[in-house]
Amino acid sequence: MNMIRRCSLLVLVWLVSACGYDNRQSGVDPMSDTTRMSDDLYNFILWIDVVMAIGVTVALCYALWKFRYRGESDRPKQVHGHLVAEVSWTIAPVFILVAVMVPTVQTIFAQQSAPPADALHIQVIGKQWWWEYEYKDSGVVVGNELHVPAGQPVFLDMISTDVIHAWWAPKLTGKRDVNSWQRTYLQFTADKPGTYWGQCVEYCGDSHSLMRIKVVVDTPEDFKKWLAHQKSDVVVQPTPEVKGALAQCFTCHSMRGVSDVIMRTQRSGPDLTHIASRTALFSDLRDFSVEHLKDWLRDPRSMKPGVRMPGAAVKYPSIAEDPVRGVPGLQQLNLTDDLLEKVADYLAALK
Amino acid sequence: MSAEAGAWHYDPDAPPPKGIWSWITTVDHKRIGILYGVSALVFFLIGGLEALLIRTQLAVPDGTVVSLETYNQLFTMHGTTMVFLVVMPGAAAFFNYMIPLQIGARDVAFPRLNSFSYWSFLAGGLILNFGWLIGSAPAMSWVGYAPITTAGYTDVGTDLWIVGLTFLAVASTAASVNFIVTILNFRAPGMTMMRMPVFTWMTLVVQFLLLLSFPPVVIGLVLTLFDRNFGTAFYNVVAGGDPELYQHLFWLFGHPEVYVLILPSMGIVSEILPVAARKPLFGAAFVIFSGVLIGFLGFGVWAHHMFTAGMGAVADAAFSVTTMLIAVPTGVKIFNWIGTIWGGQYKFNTASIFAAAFIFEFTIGGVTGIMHASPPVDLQQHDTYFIVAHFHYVLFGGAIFGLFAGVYYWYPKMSGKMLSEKLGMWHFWTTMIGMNLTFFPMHFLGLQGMPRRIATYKGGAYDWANTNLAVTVGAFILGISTIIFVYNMIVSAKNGEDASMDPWDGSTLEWATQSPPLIHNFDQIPEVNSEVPLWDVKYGQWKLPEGREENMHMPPPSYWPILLGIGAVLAVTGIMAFPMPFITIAGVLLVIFSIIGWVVEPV
Amino acid sequence: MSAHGDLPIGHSGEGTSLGVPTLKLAWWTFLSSECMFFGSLLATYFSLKKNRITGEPTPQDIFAIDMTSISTFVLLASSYLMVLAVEAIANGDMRKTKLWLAGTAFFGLIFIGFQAYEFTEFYGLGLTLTSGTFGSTFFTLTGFHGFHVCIGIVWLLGLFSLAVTGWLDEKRALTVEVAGLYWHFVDIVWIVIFTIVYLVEFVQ
Repeated sequence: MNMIRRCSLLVLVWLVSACGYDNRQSGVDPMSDTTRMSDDLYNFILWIDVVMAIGVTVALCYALWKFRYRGESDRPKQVHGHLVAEVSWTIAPVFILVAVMVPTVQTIFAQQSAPPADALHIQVIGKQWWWEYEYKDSGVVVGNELHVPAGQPVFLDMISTDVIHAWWAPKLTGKRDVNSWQRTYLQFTADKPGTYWGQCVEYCGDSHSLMRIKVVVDTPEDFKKWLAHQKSDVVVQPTPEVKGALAQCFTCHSMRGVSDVIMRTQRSGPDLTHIASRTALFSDLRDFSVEHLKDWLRDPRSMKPGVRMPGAAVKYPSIAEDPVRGVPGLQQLNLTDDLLEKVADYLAALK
Repeated sequence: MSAEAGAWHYDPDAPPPKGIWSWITTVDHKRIGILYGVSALVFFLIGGLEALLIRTQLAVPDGTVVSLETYNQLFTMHGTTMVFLVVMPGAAAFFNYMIPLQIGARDVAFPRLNSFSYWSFLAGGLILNFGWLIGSAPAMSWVGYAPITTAGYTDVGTDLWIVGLTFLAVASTAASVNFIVTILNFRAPGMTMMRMPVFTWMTLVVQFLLLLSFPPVVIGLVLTLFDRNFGTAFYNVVAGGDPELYQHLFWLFGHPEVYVLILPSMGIVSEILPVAARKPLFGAAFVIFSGVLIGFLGFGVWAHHMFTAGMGAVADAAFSVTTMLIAVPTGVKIFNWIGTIWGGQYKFNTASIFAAAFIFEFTIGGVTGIMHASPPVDLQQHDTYFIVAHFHYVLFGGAIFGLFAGVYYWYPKMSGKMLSEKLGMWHFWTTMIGMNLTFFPMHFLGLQGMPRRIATYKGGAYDWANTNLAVTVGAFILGISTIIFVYNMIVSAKNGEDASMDPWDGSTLEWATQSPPLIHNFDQIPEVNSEVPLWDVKYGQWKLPEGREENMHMPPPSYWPILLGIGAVLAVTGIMAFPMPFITIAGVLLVIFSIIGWVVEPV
Repeated sequence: MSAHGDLPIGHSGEGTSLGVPTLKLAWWTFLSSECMFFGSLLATYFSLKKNRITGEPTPQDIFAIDMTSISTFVLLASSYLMVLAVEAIANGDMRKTKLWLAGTAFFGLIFIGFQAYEFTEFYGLGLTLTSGTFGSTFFTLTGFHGFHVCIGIVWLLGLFSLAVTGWLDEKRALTVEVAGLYWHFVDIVWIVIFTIVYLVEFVQ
């Protein structure tokens, strides 16, 4: 059944767009328990829909063809209705809908049940326009790149510190709004290791389109190793010159072993302790490279419009000058070109 | 009351007044209908242009045609424009023009209020679009969820958006009172409720929906305005507020609004199909009551737009079940329409082919709706292009197709000229191809995980590029079809074939008037004996009264409605552009002055 | 002759399809919209009641039920005067019509005076539009009601002036009747608000 569905969809996609079946952010390629539930229900309703749509279309086209005007002068028989027909096509859909309702309600409660005791508890914080993840049991905080182990239930406890966002990694879980200072939850158990993508799906301002999600599902052993590494301090200490320059970053960012620890919800920039261990930068906007870091430090808004981070090359308006797009603290980074390169090189060394 | 008419005396033989002033001061429901129609068409072109810019941006990955900020403004205004300034006034054009004709009345119950509704609507539409001129169009999507609309996240465009929508709410509320009263109280002798044309019935349901659904959203918007400008706590969680409250208030309006958009077109199709098939509407009572039921149930399903908001399993399940129930009356309508064609002699022309295509397109949009009614499926489809595909099938393939059908059907009545059938067929087929090429692939985009409201997607990373290109090509075909449509209307108005009173062999009373009708519509108010009075006349024994009634009283033109509208705009603009108290005071004085003038004006 | 031609604004129920005067039907219809308006405000009040923050005054701190009861009574009494005005114009007694119209407006003004006093008092005690959800919802709900009362007062005074000029006579009794409909509606809304916002806070 699933195969047939996949094939027919494949053919249709090919017909319409002459392109292959997407495999990066597909909503019909379930890779977790919860998305499989959604997908089963989707398949079921899809077939009902297809049958109904084709049925109506065929009946309509047949009627239009068969009962077309052929130049008759007499009018057709003036029929006003048919009670049996009315009652039957009122009742029949009810049976179909009940058939859809029962599994729907069951799935709703299955997907929103209480998390199992062994679930990995992760706090997700949405901010304009990036994500922060805090592993509750270990206290590890990372920005933008979420790692979870395969086969273990994951429980996401989500909140936003500004506007509403929504967290969606289609292969792993359906979406859920990440509300302003109100908690919402998601849970899933990933099938197998791999990299999964998603993005924010509730309009959240200028760079909403660029607020992407990257989830790396590791084997349980790899995940343990990764977590232990993330818990450690920075791998290299900065030179005094770089450390002095970094001081202006620590209003918003933190760096374990270098900066003070800042309250989570007050921090407006991601943790930088192991930034070079990520494969992508700026919520999956660019691949990781030191050149992209340099560009970012020069003028972050050229990459991500509206972002609160100041750059070294351009002075942004203050919040007093522009309450909507002003930056809250520093309007411009105090970095010479030479120093900027050194800072970027240092960050790139933070494996 | 006719004794109080004072100096004004209506002369049925006088030629219709000409000039801009006669349009500004008109209280004639037919002219107001045309004003609504022309405005809707202009806004349709604006909204369509916005759509084409959106599609140009998305045609290829990493599009750079417009900036992210501009893109966000474009999709916000595209949605707002198409819903509030195109489909609603497009339907209002037909309400205004056709309802008094269909029920055998000389005008609506409150002609000057009707004129005020139009000017208030126009003010709202201009205020909404004013943001473009000052470079700050609203950018928070057409639903405007708090807290992105509260202080600090968006520019003054949001204030304009709120005030513009409030003007539209005032216009709609006034119009709904007017039409409810007109339909209930101004029917021709013999026209019982069940003998009313189905379009009139659907209009009645729509007016009740508007009347009862606009207040919640107005409250939601006013609270937003207060949060933005006065620092109240409604949507500020830190101060105890609750942004989800806005979503409930918005969708308590927003879902009935969906039926506000689609029911008029269902009514139009229910008019055209029987006339084209030359037999009465199959199961008319079922079509009517399913429309009423849709309207009624429409108030109990709003939170299905919020399945991802985290309402909890119980609420999700409850709203899922109520939502699915709506499929039943909707299905009943579709089956009855096919039943109408069945056994008839279906005459193909542009109007009737649009009406038949409506059934097809609406069915596709309808069945995907069942998926979204199921929250587990909706969690994967919500806010993706699958949803965009779904509601464009319902609103373009449904509402707009219905309005197109209505234009081809009633244009001869409204202008006295036939539309070109040749151009009409070109319009139909380009629309049909463009529409399905634009919106069908969007299903696949959504299934492949493409979210709506994104201005760009990374090249190479997603397999969305080809499909998006196909969609953009479809959108431009729709652009071409729209040009054909507008060209047809303009050219036919000048060079079209003259229309007879009854070019389609219609069954309802509007076809008993001249094309275009005289100001007083009917020389004698007709009496009716069934739901197809004109067929009774043409194919039966029924007679309409002849001769012209003496001393007809028609309301005189009035400039008070537009003055009242201008006063209200000044009063509000003055507050918004604080500190300009003089403008506000002038506006308030003008409002008071106009109301007094309005009340004591002899009619 | 049909009723439609000479009844463009339907001042009489005669000849209409339902037999109800059109203006009256229109006002009943409009009031159903107003019900949703106040219903939404009340729903807002209810839904935000549970998350009031500490730091702003509570209803028990600041409400003076005895005073608000008096103003409520005044508003109720004004409804009685409104009934008298409607009856007077129906009987063609224009002197009494003017008297009761002015009386109703006067009682409405007293109510607004009480409300203005109350608002000032509450502001002094720290309950403001921005102090928290209680302040925001309280002032918005009662403020919108007060605004409706003000419109009613202007309307009644307008009718009074038109009666003085002689424009308003017994043939136009319906205009007073619909003003009455509106006035009674606004009163009933106040009863609901008074119960929900004021009284319920003291029921434990």
